[in-house]
Amino acid sequence: MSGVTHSEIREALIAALANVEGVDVEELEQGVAANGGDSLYELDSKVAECVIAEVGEAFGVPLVGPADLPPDQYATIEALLDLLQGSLAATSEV
Amino acid sequence: MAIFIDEKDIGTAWLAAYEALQETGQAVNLSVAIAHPLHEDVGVRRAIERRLVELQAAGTSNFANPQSMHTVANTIFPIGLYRPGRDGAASRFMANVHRNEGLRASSRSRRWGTYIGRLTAYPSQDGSTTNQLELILKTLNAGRKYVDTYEMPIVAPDVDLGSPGHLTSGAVLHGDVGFDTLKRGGPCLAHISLTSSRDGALSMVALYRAHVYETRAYGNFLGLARLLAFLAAESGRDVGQLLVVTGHAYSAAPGRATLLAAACAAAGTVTPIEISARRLGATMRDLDLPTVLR
Repeated sequence: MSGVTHSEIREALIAALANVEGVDVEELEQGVAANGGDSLYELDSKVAECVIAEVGEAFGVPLVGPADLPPDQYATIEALLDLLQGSLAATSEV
Repeated sequence: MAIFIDEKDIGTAWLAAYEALQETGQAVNLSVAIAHPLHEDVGVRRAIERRLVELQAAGTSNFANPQSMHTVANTIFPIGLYRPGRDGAASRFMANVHRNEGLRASSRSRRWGTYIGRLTAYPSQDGSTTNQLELILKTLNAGRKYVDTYEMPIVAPDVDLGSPGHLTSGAVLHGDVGFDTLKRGGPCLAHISLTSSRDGALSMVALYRAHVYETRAYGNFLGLARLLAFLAAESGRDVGQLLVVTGHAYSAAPGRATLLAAACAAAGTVTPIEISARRLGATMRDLDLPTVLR
């Protein structure tokens, strides 16, 4: 998955999260800001699973689910973003 | 001899049932009725979880990977995926579950699946699935008001079998008895039945073939109550009673009296349970197992 930027992955993550939560992207971004940003906006593990599934689908690659990961890797938007970026990069190297 | 427990909230019901297990560590045909399943005793919940962590720390066999009661409840109804109050909340919840189950399909830790997976995608031998929650809600919301037509099997006889013809003592609910076999590690919750009474309340009976009281029972009561709350809310009904019937209820932990004493001492804080997602960005980490022993 070469050529995907951090910004594109965040955009896909936010769109997926908004879809899962049933809110529009603007409302979600307001929620992120109200919580103090990506590093402080916390994710329920089940919500994180949904987001991973959606982002994987958006980029056309199957990604590993939280059941096989330590919780701190998907506890916040920032952590999940790092995880997704790493997973997508690893996919491109295969 | 069968035992019947009739209590007001989840915590008090668990305590009374656990007390019934004290002498021999097991019971046959244990029925637990909870009049107000949307209330629990958080002191009891925390006492159970502290004991699970103690057993893990002591290296007790079968307690190497304990789960919080919230995590156990999530296997029946993951509240983080349900955000009511917006159009399509029920459909969105089911779509979210479908995504998660798809992701879990390739998980290393997957076995037979999850209860919520069975409720939203009950498997058939031909590979098709049935969304039981969707069907139940459709019937509940139909013009004609049925009282007692709401059945949701969890065990899939033609999927959960070990080897055809090798019968065990698993619950036999329907279908070809030659295939109604369960191995250890299969679903313990076998069936859910709902009754929509004329007073506008929706009540639930859940049938378990087996139930471990330290690791599972409290979390399962919680998950069933959340599921009942979802179905009632999405069909415009009140939450009625919860009845949990178990063929084989048992204790798997050493020191039953220790846990009972701790849970009794911690009891007394009855509060409403959570039945849906918290505000955007809010953590649920306070519901994890305690990490520090006191």
